Amino acid sequence: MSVHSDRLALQDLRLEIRGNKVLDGVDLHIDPGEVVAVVGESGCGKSLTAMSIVRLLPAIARVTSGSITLGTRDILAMSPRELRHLRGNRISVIFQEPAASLDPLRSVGEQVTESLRIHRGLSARVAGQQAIRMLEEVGISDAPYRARQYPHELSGGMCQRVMIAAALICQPQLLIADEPTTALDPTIQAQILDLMRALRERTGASILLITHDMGVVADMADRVAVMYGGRVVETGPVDAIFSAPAHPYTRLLLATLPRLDGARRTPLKTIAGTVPDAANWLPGCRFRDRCPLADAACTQTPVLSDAPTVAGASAHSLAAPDSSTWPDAHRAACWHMDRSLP
Amino acid sequence: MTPDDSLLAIRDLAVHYPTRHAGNAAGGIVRAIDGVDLTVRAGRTLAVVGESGCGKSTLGYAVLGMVQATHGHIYYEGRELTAMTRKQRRSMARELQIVFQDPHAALDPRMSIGASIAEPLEIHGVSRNDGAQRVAKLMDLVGLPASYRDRRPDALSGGQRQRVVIARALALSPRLLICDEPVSALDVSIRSQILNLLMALQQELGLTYLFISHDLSVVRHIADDVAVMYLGRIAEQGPTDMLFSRARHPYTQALLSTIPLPDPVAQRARQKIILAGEPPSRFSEVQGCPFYSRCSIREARCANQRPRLVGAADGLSTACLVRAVGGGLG
Repeated sequence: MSVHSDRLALQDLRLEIRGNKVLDGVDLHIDPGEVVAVVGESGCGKSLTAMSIVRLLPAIARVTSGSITLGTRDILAMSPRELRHLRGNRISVIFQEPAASLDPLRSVGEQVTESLRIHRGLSARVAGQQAIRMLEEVGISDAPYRARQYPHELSGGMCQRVMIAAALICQPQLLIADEPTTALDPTIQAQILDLMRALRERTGASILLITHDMGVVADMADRVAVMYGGRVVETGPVDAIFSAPAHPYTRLLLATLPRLDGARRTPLKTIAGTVPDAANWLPGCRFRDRCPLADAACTQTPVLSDAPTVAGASAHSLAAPDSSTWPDAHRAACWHMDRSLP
Repeated sequence: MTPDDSLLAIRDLAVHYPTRHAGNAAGGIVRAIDGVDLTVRAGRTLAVVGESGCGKSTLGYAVLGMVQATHGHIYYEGRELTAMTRKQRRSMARELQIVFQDPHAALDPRMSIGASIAEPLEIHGVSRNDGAQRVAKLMDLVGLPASYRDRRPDALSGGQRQRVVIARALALSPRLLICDEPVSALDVSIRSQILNLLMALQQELGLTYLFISHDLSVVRHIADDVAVMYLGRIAEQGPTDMLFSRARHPYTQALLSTIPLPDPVAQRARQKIILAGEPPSRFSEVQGCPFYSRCSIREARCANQRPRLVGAADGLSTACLVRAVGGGLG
């Protein structure tokens, strides 16, 4: 059991790629032991946000302003040596495609022990023993045998467990999970989510979960940040986001989902259009070309402000949250969050 | 041979692949489908659900003749597809078509949208002039602006590409469309657009869908009937409402319990059944119940008695010795 006390904070993070503001003033924080989900469609900046934390950005990406801090340490100011110490040791990442993220030419055991040997300076033998314990912890049976195998000999679910074992072996403070279960089957997804939950409880690690699956968010997150067009457009506790979503984008995202208790074979809600390329983002509110509430006011960029909540609001209603209770942590960036959607 | 309203009837179908997989002691046979019976009613949607490797995609390929049946029969309107010559089978392309998961991989990047949609028409001898009119009509049907005809796939979004794929599948006016994970590769906002399109097309054209998916909330929304596959066999099948409310098979129950609900309060309150392990190797020939190794209610007899699908009065058929009404030996 390790206790961590450092908050990870992104403040006003701005990132440009070829002159496009792909991240435009992202504020996000994760407290120790917290699970924060970042949701949104492809191309909204979720993964860029996550990768900027470990400074694994494409070479053409440039941070133009803002800060990323872990406790009192400034991640953006770290030397390559300090970064190596950070990655895999204090902050670990698991990616969507486990098979593509593992080295096909090295055994499972080698890959799980890598960070132990680099960061803890353990001998191959001692690290190997720890790796086998870790593999068993993530539910891999016959771990000594599996440790000698190569990624192509394992199933997708097993590769994802290996990734998780490698990510957790140094007991990081923060686990960044970028669509960790998207490529997996439902029963294996349930196992992996269960595993992440158990590890959080046992080690007190925080988790930054990047996903487009609202079901996974509801299952795992304490807090949620909804991203659109390189900005956080809504943020709040998971219950508030689902019971009283304020931003039209969040409300529509939830409304498009077929629900297990909904009427069958009826037309589903849709969101007009698609996420545009960063080169074509509009000035002002970036969702306005797809938003049924958009008007002249939306050419000005809305800032995150407190969202109204309704007592007894039903989840996924398109109605505006219209009450007078204003929890400080639930905020959205929209000029018209007091209006109902058609 | 087949019930009256059935368009497609699959009887005791098996598809076994020989493989060259190294170090495999079990004779190198993958039993992708191992004794499946299914009936798809005209104008309805039958969903086949299950996890990777359960045989659901192979089932679709077998219906299209993309893979050979090892034994068993597939009937389309009473005509036996599995007894047809290659040439007869090719002409069935006018009746049966498929929509694949990844619209990007399914389209030739060098071909214009219009040419892609027209390709099946040309192959089947439709004149260029009639073809052009048909393409315009198809694009309108799937909600693509006529101005897109000369664009290439990379100028389109994922959702638009899937519309192109659907238009091409509909070019020859088929009656049965096999949809193999048609929305899995799409973003959520696009997903609902394509599902709406598929539902509208079914109503307008009277299409029959064999809908292959691992997404149970999508399946519940769109399907009339559902078949749950596990390791090449059907574990349970029946009308959608019944399957989602009264599933008896422990695998179906586990699958249903793992659908993450987009509702944190409900999600915290529910009892999840988390299965241990993974499906056994597809190389092995299973003696008893294929679900035996992961089942929480298994009994000794399940190890060597193969359960058969047994229908009950509520419309659900279940292949489980422990749970099927009247026992699963049939």
